[in-house]
Amino acid sequence: RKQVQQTSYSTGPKQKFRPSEAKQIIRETLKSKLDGKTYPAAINDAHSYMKNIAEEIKKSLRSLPLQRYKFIVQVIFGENKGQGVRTGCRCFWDQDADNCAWEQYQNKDVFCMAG
Amino acid sequence: SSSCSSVFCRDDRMEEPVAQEDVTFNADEVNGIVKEIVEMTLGTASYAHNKVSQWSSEILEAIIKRLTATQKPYKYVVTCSIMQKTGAGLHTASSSYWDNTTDGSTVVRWENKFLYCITAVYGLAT
Repeated sequence: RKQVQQTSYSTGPKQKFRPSEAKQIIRETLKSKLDGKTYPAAINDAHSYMKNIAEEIKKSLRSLPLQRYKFIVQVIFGENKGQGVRTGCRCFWDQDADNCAWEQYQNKDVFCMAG
Repeated sequence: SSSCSSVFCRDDRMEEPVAQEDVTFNADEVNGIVKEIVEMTLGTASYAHNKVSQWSSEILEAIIKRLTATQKPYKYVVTCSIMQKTGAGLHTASSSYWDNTTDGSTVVRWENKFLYCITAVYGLAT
């Protein structure tokens, strides 16, 4: 009688990271935190704005049903003065399991990118 | 190398497993790599809208290449922001959910007379 051995470890995530869900979360967070805001004069205020945004996004991502995933949330926030900005991102990861989601927000005084 | 007297030979050399203490994110090494690459790509260039995407791609590709050449068991995420100097303010922040003992990040700020370049590297142990 042949005995079949079943593996007890998983080689991939049961539920994959969906960028569209994450984009929705980021978009909503940026809108709720930055609508109607102007660029803060004091550096400490800018720091607390951004820490707040980054923590909120991370908390919302952790509430998604994703096991064994690590998260990195980066927020770039600046004054809208007509200057040019270019942001690029390159990653070295597992193409099947890993992914990224970036969203941007802009109003008269500030711009913000989060991903 | 071992000598074989028959068709089947046993190789007694064993691969040294990577010790757990060696798997840490070396921020200094990464800082050095990033500074060198940004200096080489941007140097004394002034902000040119048509060149920025090319510079940004060059910097990112070069950094990833150098990081993967270190052969460490890490996944990397590298972001690069290039901004024109017009007196406007720029802030970056990041929040991460990872393993504190093995994972790490570093941010390198570089500037010349015409532009700022902010590069962030995140390393996640596999």
